[in-house]
Amino acid sequence: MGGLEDLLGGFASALSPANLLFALIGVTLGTAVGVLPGIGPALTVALLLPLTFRLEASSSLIMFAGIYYGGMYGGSTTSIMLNTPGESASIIAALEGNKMARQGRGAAALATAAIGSFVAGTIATLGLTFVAPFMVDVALSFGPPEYFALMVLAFTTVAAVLGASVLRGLVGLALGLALGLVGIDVQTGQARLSLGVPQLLDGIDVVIVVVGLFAVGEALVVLGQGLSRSTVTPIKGMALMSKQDLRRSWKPWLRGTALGFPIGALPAGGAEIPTFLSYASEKRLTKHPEEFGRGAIEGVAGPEAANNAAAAGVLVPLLTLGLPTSATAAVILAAFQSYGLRPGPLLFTSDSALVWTLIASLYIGNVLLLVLNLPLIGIWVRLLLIPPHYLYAGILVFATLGTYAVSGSAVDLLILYAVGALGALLRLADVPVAPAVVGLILGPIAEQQLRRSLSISQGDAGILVSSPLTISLFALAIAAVVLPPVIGLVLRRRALTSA
Amino acid sequence: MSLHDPTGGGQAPAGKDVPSLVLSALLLALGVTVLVDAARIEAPPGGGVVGPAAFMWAVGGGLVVLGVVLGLVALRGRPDEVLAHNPLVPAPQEHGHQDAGTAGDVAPTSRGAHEPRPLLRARPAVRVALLVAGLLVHAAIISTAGYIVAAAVLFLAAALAFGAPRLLPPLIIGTVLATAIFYSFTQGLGLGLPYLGGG
Repeated sequence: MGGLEDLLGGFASALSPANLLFALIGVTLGTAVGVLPGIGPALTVALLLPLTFRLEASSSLIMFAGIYYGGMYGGSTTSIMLNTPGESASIIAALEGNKMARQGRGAAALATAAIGSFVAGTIATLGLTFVAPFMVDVALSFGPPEYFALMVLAFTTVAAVLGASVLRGLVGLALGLALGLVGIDVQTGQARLSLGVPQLLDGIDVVIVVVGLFAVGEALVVLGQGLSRSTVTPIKGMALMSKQDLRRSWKPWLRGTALGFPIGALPAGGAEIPTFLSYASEKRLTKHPEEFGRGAIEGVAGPEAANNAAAAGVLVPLLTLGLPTSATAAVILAAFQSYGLRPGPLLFTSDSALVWTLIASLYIGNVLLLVLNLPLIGIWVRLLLIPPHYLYAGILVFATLGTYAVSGSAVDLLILYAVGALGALLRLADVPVAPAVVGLILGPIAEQQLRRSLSISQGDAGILVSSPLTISLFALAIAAVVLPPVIGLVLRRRALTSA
Repeated sequence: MSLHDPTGGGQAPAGKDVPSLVLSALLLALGVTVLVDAARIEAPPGGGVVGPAAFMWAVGGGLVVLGVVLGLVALRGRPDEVLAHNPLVPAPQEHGHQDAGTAGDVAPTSRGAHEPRPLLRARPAVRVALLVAGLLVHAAIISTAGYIVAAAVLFLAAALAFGAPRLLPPLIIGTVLATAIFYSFTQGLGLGLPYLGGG
C-alpha cells in the first residue's frame, strides 16, 4: 500500500494556494455557521451546492469538509456561551460548559473545547488515514447484498440514535425515504409519486429538502414559540486555560478521542453516543465529582474531543462505503454525486488524488481551526450578538436564494415552503430531521442495491441473507430498533421494583 | 398496549399530543398515496426482476404502520416511554429556551437590559402569519418585480416578524443585502436572477 505516498501527494495538492484558500473559506464559514444559532453545517453545505457547480470537485469538497469540521468547533462555542446547542452532539458541552461560562470561566471552557477538538480531530484524521485503505480492501469484496444490508443497518441505527425515541426516528426515516421516491425511476423510466405535477418528475432536489427542513422549519418553530432573549457573556482577548485546566483536560481529550473515532467510524456511527459515553466516563473518573453539574472542565474536554473524533470517524464509512451516518455526511454525499463521483471503495482507485487531497486538507483544516478559534474567539462570540431578527431574516433570504438558484422556478419556492411546514411539524412532534435527510439521500442508493441483488438472484430474496456478513448486519439492524425500547422497559421495571 | 405498561396505564394523561396526531394523519395519508401510486405502476417488460413499485410498497406500508403506531401513542397523551424512550440518550436536563431570567447572578449581559421593544407587538400566531405572508409574496412577485424587490420584501417581513424594533433599518439592510446578492450572482457567479420587470 502506498498510503503514505498518496497522502504526501495529497498534501502537495491541498497546500496549493487555491486549495488552501478554499480550506480557509470552508473552516471560516463552518465556524461562523456553527456559532450562529439556527444554521448548521448540513444547511450551509446544501445552500452552497447550487453555487459551486462551476468549481472544481476537489476545491468545493475541500471547502465542504472545512465547513463540516468548522461547524463542530463553532457549535461548541454556542453551547458554552448560550446553552442552546445547535446540534444534538453539542448538548453535552452545554451541560458543563455553560455553567463554566456563568462562573466567568468561559475562556477556559472555550479553550479546552478548541484544543481538545484539535487534538481529537488530528488523531482521528490520522485514524482515518490508516483505517480507510484497510476498509477499502474489505469493501472491494462486497456485492450488492452486502451493501444493501449495510444501508439497512445505517438506516435503523440513524433512526434509533438520532432521536429521543426509536419510533420517532423511524418516522423521520420513512418520510425521507418517501421523499426520495418522488420522480422518474432511473431503471425503468416510470414516474413515481409525481402526482401529475411536471416539476416533480425530476424528483425533489436534496437542496430544497435540507433547506426547507432546517432553515424554514426552524424559523417557523422559533417564531411560533414566541420571542426569547438570550444572554451572552462577552469574552475579552484569547481563549486561554491555566496549567491546572490543562492538567485536568488532557486525559479527557484522549479518552474522548478513543471513544469517538471508533464509534463514529462504524457504519452505524453518528457523533451523539460517543459524546454521551465520554461525559458518563469522565463523571465517573473525575477527581472533582463535586464540580460535575456545576461546571467541571473534564465534562467539556472529553465530550468535545469525542464529538470531533466521531465527526472524523463518520468520514470512514462515507468515503470507503458511500454510507452517510449523519445529516451533514448525507449532504456531502449528495455533493459528491453532483460531481458524478460515487464515494465507495472504487473512489480510492478512480479518484485517488482527489480523496487524498481531501484527507490532507482535513489535517490543514484542523490547524486553521485552532488558529481561528483560540486567538480570535472573541470575534466568534460577538457573532452571537447579532439580533435574532436580522439573523433569521438573513437565513430566510439565503434559504430562498439557494432554492431559487437550483432551477430558477417559483414552484420550487412553494415546494420549499411545504417542506418547511413539514419540518416545523416534525420539530413540534419531536421527530428528528436528520434521519429524514439520510433516508432521502441514501434511500435511492439502497433501492438500487436491492434491485441489483435480486436481479443477480433472479428474484430469490434468499440472496439478501446468503452470507454470514449480511445475516449479522441484518441482525444488528433489527437489534438497533428493538433493543432500546426493551432496555428501557427493563430499566423501568427495575426502577419500579427497587422503589 | 397495557401488556407493555408496568404502571398499569393509570397515569393521568398529560394532555393530547396534537402535533403527533397531525403527523400521524399525515403519515397515513402519505402512506396511502404511496400505496395507490405503487398499484398504478405496471412493471414494464424487461425492467428487471424487481420493478419500480416494490420499494414503494415497502415504504408505503411502513408509513401506514408508523402512522397507526404514532397515532396510538399520541392518543395515550403521554410521552412514549415504553415504545420509544432511548436509554442511550439522556433527557436534556435543561431543555429550555435561552433562559432569560436565571442568569441574573452573572456579569451584566451585553444586551437584554435595555433591549428595544419590538415594533410588532402581537401573538406568536400573528408573527408566523406575517412570516408566511412574506414568504408567499416573495414567491409570487419574484419573476415580475425582480429579485431585489422580492428579497427586500421577504427580509423586511421576516425581520418584523422576529421582533425588529424599527421599520427603516431592516428595510435598508434588506435592500442593500438583496442588491449585493443580485449583482454578485448575475455579474460574479454568472447565475441568473430576475431583473425588475421580469426576464
